[in-house]
Amino acid sequence: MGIFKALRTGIKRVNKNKKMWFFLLVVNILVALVLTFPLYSALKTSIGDSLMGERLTKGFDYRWYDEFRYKFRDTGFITLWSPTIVGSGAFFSNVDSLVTGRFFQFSPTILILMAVYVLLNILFAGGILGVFHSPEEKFTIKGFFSFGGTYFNRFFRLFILSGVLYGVLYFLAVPYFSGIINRIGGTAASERVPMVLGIIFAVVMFFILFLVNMIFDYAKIRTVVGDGRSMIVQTGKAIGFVFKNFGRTMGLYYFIGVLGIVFMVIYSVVEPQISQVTPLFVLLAFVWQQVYMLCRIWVRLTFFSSQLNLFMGLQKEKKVSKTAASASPSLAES
Amino acid sequence: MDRKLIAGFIGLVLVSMGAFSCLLAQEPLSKRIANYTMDVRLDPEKKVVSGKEVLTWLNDSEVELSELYFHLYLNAFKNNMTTLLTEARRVYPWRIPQLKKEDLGYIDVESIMLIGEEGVEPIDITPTIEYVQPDDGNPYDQTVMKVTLPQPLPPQQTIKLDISFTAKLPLGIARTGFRDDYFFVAQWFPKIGVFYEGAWNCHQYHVTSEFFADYGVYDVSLTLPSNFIVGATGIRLYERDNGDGTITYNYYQEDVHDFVWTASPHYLVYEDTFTHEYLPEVKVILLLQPYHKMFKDRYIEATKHALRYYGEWYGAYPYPQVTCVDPAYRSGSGGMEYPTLFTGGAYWLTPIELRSPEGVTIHECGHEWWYGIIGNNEFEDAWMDEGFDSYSDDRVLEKAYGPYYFSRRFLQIFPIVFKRFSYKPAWGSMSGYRPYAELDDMSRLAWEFMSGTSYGVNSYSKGALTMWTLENYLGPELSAKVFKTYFQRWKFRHPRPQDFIDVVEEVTGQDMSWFFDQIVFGSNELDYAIERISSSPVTKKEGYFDENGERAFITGEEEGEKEEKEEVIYQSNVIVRRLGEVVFPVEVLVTFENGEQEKKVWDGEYRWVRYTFKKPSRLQSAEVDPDHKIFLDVNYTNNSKTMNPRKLPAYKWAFRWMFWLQHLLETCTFFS
Ligand SMILES: [Zn+2]
Repeated sequence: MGIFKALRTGIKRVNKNKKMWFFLLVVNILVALVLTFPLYSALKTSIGDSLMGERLTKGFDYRWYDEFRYKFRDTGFITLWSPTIVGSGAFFSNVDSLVTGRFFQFSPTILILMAVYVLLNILFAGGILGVFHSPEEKFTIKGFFSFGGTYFNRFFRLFILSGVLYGVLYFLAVPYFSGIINRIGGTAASERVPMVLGIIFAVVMFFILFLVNMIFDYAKIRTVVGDGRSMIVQTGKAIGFVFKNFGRTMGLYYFIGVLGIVFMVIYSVVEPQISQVTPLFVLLAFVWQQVYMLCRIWVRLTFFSSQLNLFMGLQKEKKVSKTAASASPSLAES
Repeated sequence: MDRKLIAGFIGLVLVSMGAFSCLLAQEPLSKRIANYTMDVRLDPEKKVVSGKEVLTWLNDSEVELSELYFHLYLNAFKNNMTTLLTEARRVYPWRIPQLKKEDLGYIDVESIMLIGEEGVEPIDITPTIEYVQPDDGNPYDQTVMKVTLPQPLPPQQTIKLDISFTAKLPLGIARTGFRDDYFFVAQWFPKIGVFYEGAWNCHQYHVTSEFFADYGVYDVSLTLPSNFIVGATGIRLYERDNGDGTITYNYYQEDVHDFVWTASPHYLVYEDTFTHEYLPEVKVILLLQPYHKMFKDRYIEATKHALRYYGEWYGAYPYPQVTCVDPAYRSGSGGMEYPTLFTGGAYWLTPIELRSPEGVTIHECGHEWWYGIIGNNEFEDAWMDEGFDSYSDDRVLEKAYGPYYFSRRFLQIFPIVFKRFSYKPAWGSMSGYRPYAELDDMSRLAWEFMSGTSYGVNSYSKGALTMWTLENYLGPELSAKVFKTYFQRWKFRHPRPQDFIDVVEEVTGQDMSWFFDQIVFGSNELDYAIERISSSPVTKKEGYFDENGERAFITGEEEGEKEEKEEVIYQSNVIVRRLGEVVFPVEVLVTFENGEQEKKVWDGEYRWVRYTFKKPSRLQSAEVDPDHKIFLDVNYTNNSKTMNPRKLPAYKWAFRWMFWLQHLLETCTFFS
C-alpha cells in the first residue's frame, strides 16, 4: 500500500462523512463559546456607548486596546487577547505554544477548557475510528457515541501513556535544553548562537512531538482494528509498525501536515482582505473562519482515515506475503 | 624608521596640530570647569586600565573650598555590598549575575599631587583621601572620595591635580566593563563632582541613576595592543605606533562632561557624513560587530535622522563627529549615551518594522542634546533628560519611519509583523505609566523611587507624556519655540526643573505653575470622562402662569418657542466629570444629529460640569479632549459618549478571539 493510495481512499471516506465534520465543528464552536462570551461582554463593557465603537469599526485603536487589557488584567485569559492572534497569528501563537509548552502558563480558565476539549476528543477519537473502520463507514450520532464509549477507556489509557511522554518533553526536555541554550548563549560571541540553537531545538522538538503523536495514532488504530486490550502492547506494536514502515508512515503524516499548512496559508491570505467595517463583512469573516476550521477538522479526520488505510493495507500485504511465504518457503528464503 | 614613515608621521602631526589649533581658536562653548589630560594604558589580559590624569579645575563658586569630591564609579563593582549592587539585588534581581572574583571591578587612586606654580614642589595630598557616602551612609560603598586641600581654594581660582590610578574593569553587567576581548570603558577615571547651589553635588553610584559633571576639555591618550580598534569621545588627533606591539591614540574634545572609550579587535568601522541644508556637517562613525553587518545602513540612517531632526528642532549638533557603537553581545553596554559617542543595540532577524536598532539609535543619539549639551543633573532630575529625549525620539521615529506595528517572535526567533495594527510611537508610554501612575512624583531623586519600574516610568514614560501634553496644550508653534529657547539658553549648562518652567512661562507669557506643580511635582492621575448624555424634546409648559399680571392656565407650549410650534426643540444635557485629581483645562466637543457642533472649554476645576443645549436637533455625541491632546489622560475610552453606540467592534473582536480559541482547541486534539 502506497501513501497516495492510502490518502486517496482516506479522503474519500472522510468526504463521505460530512455530517461528522459538522458535528465536530459544532462541538468546537460550543466549547470556544464558553470563553468567547465573557470576552464579548468585556469588550462590550469597555467600548460601551463611547465613540470608540465608531473608531474600532473603521480600524484599530491602540490606546483603547491598552486600556482594555489593563482594565481586565485580573481575568487572566483576557490578557492573552491581542492583535497578534488575528489571522495567521492564531496559527503562529498556537504552534508556538505546542512546541514550547507555553500553554501551561495560560490562565486556569483556559487550561480547564482545553482539558475538557481534550477529554471530549478522546471520546470522539474512538467514534471517528470506529465509524471509519465499520463496514458501512457511515456517521450516525448513535453509532459515533457508541464507538466512542467502547474505546474511551482504552484511549484514555493511551492518553495517559502519551501524556507521560509529552510530560517528559515539556517538563524535562524543554527546561533542560533551554538551560543549555542559555548557558551556551551566556558565553557565545553573538545572539545568533542561541537563536540557531533555538531553531535546532524547535525542529527536533517538532520532530519528536509529531513522531509521538503518530505512534499513538497507530496505537489507537491497532486497538480498533484488532480490538486490542493492553494499551502498552498496542503502543509497543505501534512503535514497531512505525519504524518498520518508517518512510511510508512519515511520508503520509507529513504530507497531510503540509495540506494543513496550505489551508492555513489560504486562510491567512484571504482573511485580511475582508475589511470588517460592516456587519455583513464581519459575518463573512466569521464564515470564512468557520470554513477554515472545517478544513482543519477535515485534516484531522484525514489523518485518522488515511493512517487507518495505510495500517490495514500494510497488514494485508504482510498477511499475503506470510501466506505466500508459507506456500513456497524457498521463495521466502531467497 | 624608514623615510616614508617619518614623512607620514610629520604630516600627521601637522594635520593634528592644525585641527588642534583650529579647535582652540573657537570661542569656548561652555564654561570649562573640569579639564582632563590623561595618559592611560589598557592591559587586556588583566582587564586593567592604568595611568594618570591631570585635572585642571576651576572653583566657579563664590566660596573658598578646602575639600574636593570625586566620583570613583568603578568601585560600585568592588564587592556585593556596594550601594549599586545592593540596590540592584532589590531592583533588578534578574539582571545582576553572581560576580566571580575576576569579574569584580574597582579603582585605586594611587596618588594625588597638588601641582603649584612652576618650580614649586608638588604637594602630596594622597593621605587626605577619605571615602564618603553622602546618600546612604553605606560603609561598603567607595564610589565617592573626598580629599582635603592644604589651603582653601579661593573663588574663581584654578587648581591642578596630578592623579595616578589603576582601574580594574568589571565584567560588563551595567554599562561599563569587558566581555572577552570587548572593552567598553565608561565611568572609569577619578572624576570630580560638581560644586553648585552652594554645595558639592557628588552622589554615590546608584543602580537607577546616571551621571552629572561639569563641562571641560578632555585630552586623552590611550595605549593598547595595536590589534584593537578604538572609538572614543572626541576626535582622534593622532596615533603613534610604539614599536612594542602597542599603539597610542590621542583623542581630544572640548566642551563635554565625560569621556568614554571602547576597544575590540573585531569592530567593523564605517564612516559617513551627515549633511544638511543649514546644519553643520557631522562625521558619523559606526563601530559595528561583524555579525551585525546587515544593520550598517540602518544604524547610519537612524543616526542621521537624529542629527537632522534634533538639529532642526532644538539646535545644531555642535561637535564635528559622532560615534555610534554597536555593543558586543551580552556586554551590558548597549543603549547608553556619552558625549559624542553612544551605543545602540541590534538583534539578528529584526526587520525595520520592529524599529530596532532604529529606536535605540535615535534615543541614544538624541541624548547628545538632552544630557550631552543640556547637562542636567541626571541623579536628581532624571526626567529632564530621559523624558525630553523619549518625547523627542517619539517625534523623530514617527517623522522618519511612520507608525509602530504589533509584532511577535515566532518561537522567540522569527519575527512576524502585524501591519494591520499600528500605533503612534508615543502611545506606548502610557502602557508603562498607567499601572504606576500614582506611585511616585516624577521629580524624585533617581534612586529614591519605589522601584526600578517606577523610576523608569516616571523618568521616561511620564516624562514623554508630559512633554507631549505640554506641546499639545501650547500648540505646535509656541511649543517649538519653548524647546528651542530652552535648549539655546541652557546649552552647556546645568538647568534645573525651575529653569525649564521659567522658559515656558517666559515664552508663553503664561503662569504655568499649575501644570508643573501637578504633573512634575505631583503624582496624581489625570482622567476626564463624559459621565452622561441625554437628549429629548423640551418639556412643554403646563399649569398656571402669570402673564401680564393675570393668571393663565397654559398647556403644551414650548418655552420661548411660541412661533415655531411645528419644529421640535430638543434639550440635550452633557455631564463631564473629572475623575482624576489633576485639574486640567479641557475642551468638550458636542455634536448634534444635524451635523452642528459646539465646542466648550471647561477649566476642569470642580468635579463635574453640565452643559445644556436647546436645539432643533438631537444630540449625537459628546467628547472631552476631542483632538486627543492630553496624552496624560489615563483613560481615553471614557472620554466620549454617543447616542448611537456601535455593537459591531465587540462582535468583530470577539469573533477574532473565538477563532484563536477554536484554533487552540483544535491544536489540543494533538494530545487526545
Ligand atoms: Zn535615555
